[in-house]
Amino acid sequence: MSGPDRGQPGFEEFVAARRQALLRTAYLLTGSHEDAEDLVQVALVKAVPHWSRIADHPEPYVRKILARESVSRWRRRRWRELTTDELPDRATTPGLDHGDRLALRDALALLAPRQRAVIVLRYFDDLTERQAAEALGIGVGTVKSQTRDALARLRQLVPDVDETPDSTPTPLTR
Amino acid sequence: MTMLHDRLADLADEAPASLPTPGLWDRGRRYRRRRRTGTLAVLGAAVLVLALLGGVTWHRGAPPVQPATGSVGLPDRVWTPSPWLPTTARPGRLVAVTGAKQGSWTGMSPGVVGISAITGEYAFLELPDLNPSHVEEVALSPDGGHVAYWLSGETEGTPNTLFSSESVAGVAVLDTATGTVQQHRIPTEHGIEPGLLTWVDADRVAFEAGQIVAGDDGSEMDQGSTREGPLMVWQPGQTPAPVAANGASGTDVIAAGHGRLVVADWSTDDPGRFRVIDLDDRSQDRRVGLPGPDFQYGNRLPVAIDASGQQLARVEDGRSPNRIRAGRFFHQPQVPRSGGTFAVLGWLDEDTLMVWRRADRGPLDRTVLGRVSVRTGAFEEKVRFPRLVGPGNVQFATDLLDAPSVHAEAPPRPLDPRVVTGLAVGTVLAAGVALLLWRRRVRP
Repeated sequence: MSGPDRGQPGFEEFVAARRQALLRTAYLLTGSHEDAEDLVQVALVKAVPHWSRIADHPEPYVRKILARESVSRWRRRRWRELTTDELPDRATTPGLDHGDRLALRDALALLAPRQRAVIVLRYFDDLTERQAAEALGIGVGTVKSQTRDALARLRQLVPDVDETPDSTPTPLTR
Repeated sequence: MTMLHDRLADLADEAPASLPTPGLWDRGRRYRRRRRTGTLAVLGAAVLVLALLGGVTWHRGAPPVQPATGSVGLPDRVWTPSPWLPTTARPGRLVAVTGAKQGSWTGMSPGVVGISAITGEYAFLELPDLNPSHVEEVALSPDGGHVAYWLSGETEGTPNTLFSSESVAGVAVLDTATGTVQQHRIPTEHGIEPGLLTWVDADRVAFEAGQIVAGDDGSEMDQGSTREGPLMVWQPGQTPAPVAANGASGTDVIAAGHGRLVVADWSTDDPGRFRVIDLDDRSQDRRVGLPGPDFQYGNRLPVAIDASGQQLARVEDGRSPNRIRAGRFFHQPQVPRSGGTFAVLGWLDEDTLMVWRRADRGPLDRTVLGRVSVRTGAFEEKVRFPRLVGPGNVQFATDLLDAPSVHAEAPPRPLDPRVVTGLAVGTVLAAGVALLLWRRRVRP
């Protein structure tokens, strides 16, 4: 049996297979279609220089770039953009419960970027605290405190939501 | 209540649909090239700066190329030493020593620089337990092979810090060829007040160590009082012996050299109040006349005795600089045209002295060392000094004063290692920060 291709074909194959899953995470991290697209593209481009090394198991590395880039680009934008408590109206997908989605989307937007990333990594990507810490390049203690603060804020903003109990993470197959 | 996980998954369904984006691989390759180019540029610049720093450090610290004659020479110029010269315990034969500030990571401290008689190199001398308050009183032997100095040490009782911050507790001699140091510790209750420290010949050093009467807990008067010690002669490796010269002490010695001491009896004005002590043959001791001298400069004695023990030379009393008187005992006429002389270092032959005098040309604070004819007063300049350097600042090996004159290149002036280290660390940090900023700034 031959291993994954360590060149362009292997990369293209990975992109075709996992791009949508990455977009879902990116959308939760950014709350914007354009930003999610851009974030995934940046993460994939940044993974290219390391592709020969990560070709066997590229997803954790790409998700690490995704998470860190979402925090750092928010920091960069913070100096250029005005912040507001009122979120712009967005298009919604027909057939979904718009009220619930809107409430969660708005609540996520009010979290600090690192808190938001921690919530997405822990409760959507099902990473453990240690994995989330590695992905964000921070300490486990920081992940714990950021999670605690983020959940407290979410409970205030979206009272009817309950967090998933801590458990071993499920494989990233979304 | 709904689970957060489910709510996030539901929200994620709003994510945009995946569309083919051609060229990601090529963008990634270009991104890698840009990052690599920037990284190499920053690292290259850092390496260049470090190499430049290393080159300048090496260049300034490298000793000048001197002709390797292998024989001793008298440098035609003495330079002001850098505080960052290297330190050595085995400098080899020295032509001169001078006090200088020595730099360290924590600041400056007094040190002693030796000038090699063979290579002309300058280096700080490693003098273990050198008392920092008496650095200027080190004594270079006439042949340049030994350096005597006062030792720091513990006192048996309360130390006296009025005289020096560290108590003096003995004498030591460094062998400049082997680097070995011989110490003679002197038991003391409150510390020693150094008196005389001078070489009688190449092998024997004479010293007088006064005992301080009281420590810091004594009365003010006692704290400032000392008891004169006996005049001792010490050949390193042997036990020091007192020079029984009718109770002579260090303050009585006006000349030393060629195995002889000339001591004065200050209690009388009699012209014949001086005594020549021949340490190798005490039966040759004799009373001699020497009009005038009633002062001395610590161990740098104002009178030079010749090798035969028959002639003395000195600068006239009254003012400094002044003319020279030189000749046999009881009859020492003025040396013609010898005004402007600060000190007589020694006799080179029956008619020639080596003297330290004001330079004929240049600023008034510039002095020179040169040969002067006792008979005619003819002067030949041999050694130049930096401004404000005079007798007491540089001490020569008197046996080497008639060595061939050699051109002395300026000693190295190494950079302050704290500055070098700071610049190197700063460069590395700056490169690191620049690299970090560049890698963050460069966008795929």
